[in-house]
Amino acid sequence: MASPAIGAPSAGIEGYADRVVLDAALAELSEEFRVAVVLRDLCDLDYAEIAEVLGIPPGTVRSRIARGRSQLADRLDVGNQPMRAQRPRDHTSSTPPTGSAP
Amino acid sequence: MTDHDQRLDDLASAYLDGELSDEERAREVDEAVLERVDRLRVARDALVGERVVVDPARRDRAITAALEAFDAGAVDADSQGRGGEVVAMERVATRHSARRAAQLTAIAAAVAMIALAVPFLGDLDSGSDQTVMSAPTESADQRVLADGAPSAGAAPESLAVAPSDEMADLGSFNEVADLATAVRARLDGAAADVETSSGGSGAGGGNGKELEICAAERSDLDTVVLAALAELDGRPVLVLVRDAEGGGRTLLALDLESCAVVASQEL
Repeated sequence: MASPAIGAPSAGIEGYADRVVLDAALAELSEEFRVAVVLRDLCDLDYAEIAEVLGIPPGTVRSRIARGRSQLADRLDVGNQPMRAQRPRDHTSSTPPTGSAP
Repeated sequence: MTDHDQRLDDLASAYLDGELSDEERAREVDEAVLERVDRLRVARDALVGERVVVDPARRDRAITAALEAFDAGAVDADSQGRGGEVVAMERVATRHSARRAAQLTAIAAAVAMIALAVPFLGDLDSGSDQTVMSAPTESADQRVLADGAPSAGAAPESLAVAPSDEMADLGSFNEVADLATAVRARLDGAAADVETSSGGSGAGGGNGKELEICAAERSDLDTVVLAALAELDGRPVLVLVRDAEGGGRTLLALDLESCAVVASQEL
């Protein structure tokens, strides 16, 4: 498979085609992960609001969003892309944490 | 995915969203988490439309599927896309440019013919069925013959066109093939009329008021040989017949409201 194209969103027909591919990848997620990711990234709800909407604990929301994003990255073949060359869009300025167990 | 991987994704995703606990935030940087942060960030940005991460081959397949569905009038683009053939975008662009050029040419020809035909309505409505020897612009290359003899040094091909309020109506058709058959008959009839007119009997078109605009020396009209009205699949259309570059003729049906080409066929 060719490496994914990374860059600014495409205009016109290529932009629509990209959207179709993304929607197809999103549709392949299980419903519980897809709903969590959509509420977070497209509806811009925070974890507490999603937990209230879905009636599940915030920790479960966090886990579902993480797994949904990870599966979406797998389907878009994100792992083949060069890392750390993207524009930051973070909600926090703190450094990422370690992966060690508490 | 192992529990450890899941744990890393969980931390990375929460970091992206600013949802880390104070305890998690206070820990030192872990390279493994950084990599997952980047990976999840790409996926998130793609989803919200801030980044393109689509494999070019998949993009081309999606575009090809859409074009095939458009061309065939099919609606099941999804099923076609999975088996779609990847084509070079240059070929697609060329094909659509040619199609667009043909549409613009047809529309321009239609507008030009209507613009030329309208001034002659007054001459007809004034009660004269006599030969009108020149167009209102009096240009030497515009000779209009209603029922009279063909012009001297006549054009090898003349344009059979009727005024807009009495333009020949070919009838209603469900299929473009049926319309093409009627057009062929019309063209054959027009040719017969020209021959009859040359012989001096002076019969015009089917409705007696059809105009013939000699267009041999007009570069903007010399490829259009027939214009008429019809109804195609319930839609009123302007029917144009043009000489094709490589010989033969092409029938174009233009929607009367939008001037869009709704059908075309080689005659």
